[in-house]
Amino acid sequence: MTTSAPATLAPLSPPVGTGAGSIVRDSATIYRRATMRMLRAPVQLYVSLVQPLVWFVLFGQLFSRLTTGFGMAAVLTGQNPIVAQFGTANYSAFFLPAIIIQMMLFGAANSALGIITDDQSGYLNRLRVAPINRLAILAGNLLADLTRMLLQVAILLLVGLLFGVRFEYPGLLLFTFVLAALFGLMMGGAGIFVALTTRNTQATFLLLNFFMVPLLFTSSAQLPAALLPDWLQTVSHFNPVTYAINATRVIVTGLNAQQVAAGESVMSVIGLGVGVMLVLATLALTAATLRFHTLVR
Amino acid sequence: MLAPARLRTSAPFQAPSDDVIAVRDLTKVYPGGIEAIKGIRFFVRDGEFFGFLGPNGAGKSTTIKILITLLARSSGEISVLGYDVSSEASTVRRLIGYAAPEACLDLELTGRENLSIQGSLYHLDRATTRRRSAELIELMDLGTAADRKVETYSGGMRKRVDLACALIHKPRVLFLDEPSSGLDPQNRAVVWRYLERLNKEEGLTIFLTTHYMEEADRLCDRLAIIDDGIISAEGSPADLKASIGGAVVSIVFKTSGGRSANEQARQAHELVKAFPFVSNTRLSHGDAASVLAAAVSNGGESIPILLRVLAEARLDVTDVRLTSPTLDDVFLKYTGVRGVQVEPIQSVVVHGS
Repeated sequence: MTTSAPATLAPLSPPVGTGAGSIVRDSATIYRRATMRMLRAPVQLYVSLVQPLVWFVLFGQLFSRLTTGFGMAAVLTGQNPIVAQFGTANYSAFFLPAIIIQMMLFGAANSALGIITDDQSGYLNRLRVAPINRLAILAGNLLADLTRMLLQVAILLLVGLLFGVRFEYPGLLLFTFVLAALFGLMMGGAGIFVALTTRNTQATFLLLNFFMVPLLFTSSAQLPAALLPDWLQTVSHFNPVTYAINATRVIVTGLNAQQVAAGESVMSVIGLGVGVMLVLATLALTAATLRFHTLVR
Repeated sequence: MLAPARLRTSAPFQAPSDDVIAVRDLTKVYPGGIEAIKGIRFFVRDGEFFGFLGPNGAGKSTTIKILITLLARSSGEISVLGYDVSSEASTVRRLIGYAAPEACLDLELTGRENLSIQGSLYHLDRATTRRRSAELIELMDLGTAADRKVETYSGGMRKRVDLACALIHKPRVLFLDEPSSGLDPQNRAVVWRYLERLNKEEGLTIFLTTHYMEEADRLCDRLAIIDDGIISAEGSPADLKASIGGAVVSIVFKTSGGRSANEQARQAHELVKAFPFVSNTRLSHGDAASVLAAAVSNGGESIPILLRVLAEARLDVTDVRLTSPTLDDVFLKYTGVRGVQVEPIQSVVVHGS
């Protein structure tokens, strides 16, 4: 039924807010709230900033001799083919892109858990009753988390510099942020889809972890693909984490021996990574949006 | 037995021109075939304080969720301020305010920050949001607490901030889902005062669901009682109370002056039933006393009239008491609460027998 407002009601007490909702304006409001929440929980913020740094420093030191085959290969052959496979003798340089993507992999669960918390506390209903664009609820939360994570990427890059990492292609560093952002959006979308399907904090957390850890360890995060067992090499080809890490890694270390042998270029590796991330992020965000739409109408 | 007055249940729907909420033939069937609402109709007029009562699971939450655009109806016509709640949901959302049973606030933010975010959600500019926040903080007596995190607030304070959030954009209709839920009597009284002020002084139309009968009796101009997805009664609190029999005067007689209690009660019955304001009477006899119960339309005013007649007839009245039906009686009667033994209001307790 569509009825026009009775004339007697029109001028009674017009609401003070008459501006139309737009996704940009409404996303900015949700973004503002999410950012305020983050700043109000400094312990969580610091931990999420410091934890990747600790991993980076500890893993970088623990495996610092891995790239040179612990010196043995050089002794036997007078050359070091393992270094060529890593693309660098500096394990910290090899690992820095992996820790960036790993951080996005685990950090994106935040948006998902935030939306569940709002659903359970009833705050989501407050947002749903407001005259705002529905997608702004997703966009604002995702962008706030993305801001935090991109800030972490910048800090990680600076710490990498302090630990002796030198970037092979500093002019392409912008792509590090682009790749991290796309990967973060993909994981954020997937996380929100899971969260809105389970509508349960514990189930979401368990499910995301169930997939995240295998995703990380079947990728080229810790070792170059060429050094993985054959079956794992095959799996890593179908793992989006591999593409994100490889594309980020060529900016830091340049091409490795396998990539050179395959005739790849730095830009082709970056292009493939951006392309894969763009497709998957679009799919994940579409799935999350459709799920959200069925719930909030 | 006193017969209750016939209640008004399904009066033909006529939408007056000043209807703020109009609901016609609303049904809601949940997936799985659960029929929560079975074709209800009611309307709320401009400036009215309307109560929607019902036991748990009766359909009141479903109804309010459909009205505030959170839930889709299965069929029926529902408009708020003349706008359809589905096809014109965005306009409806802009014009209404809503407060849920539990205060839905961001506990990490202060009360003032919650209001600020709420203002932005309703597209108020910064200056307006600041001004409205200050007004509401004063109205709700939040004082300096407004700048503390909400997680430090008591339940009553949270409720007040929640109410303030629902009012930030000056809604034309305020929907309150069990506003007293979880509040102690003191805080409940405070919230009631705000609501009365909003309704009486500012003319705000309020739609309230509750199962506190005291709340409905004190605040609401009109009520609808829903049970099992159907509206079983509708009217003002006074009308509804009157519909189940009005006030009852109970007159107690004991044996005295050589006349038995039974004999005196029977004689009194003949005298009392002749009055036009007496609709029903009932006699009950005990070992030591007899009681004449009379349903009266004029409440306490009937007592001196009846006593004078009984005195002239030299009947020895031992005790007289007036029992008024409460909204609890109305609620219990019209919701047919299963498993609860309802004591009829006409029952008479004979003291001193």
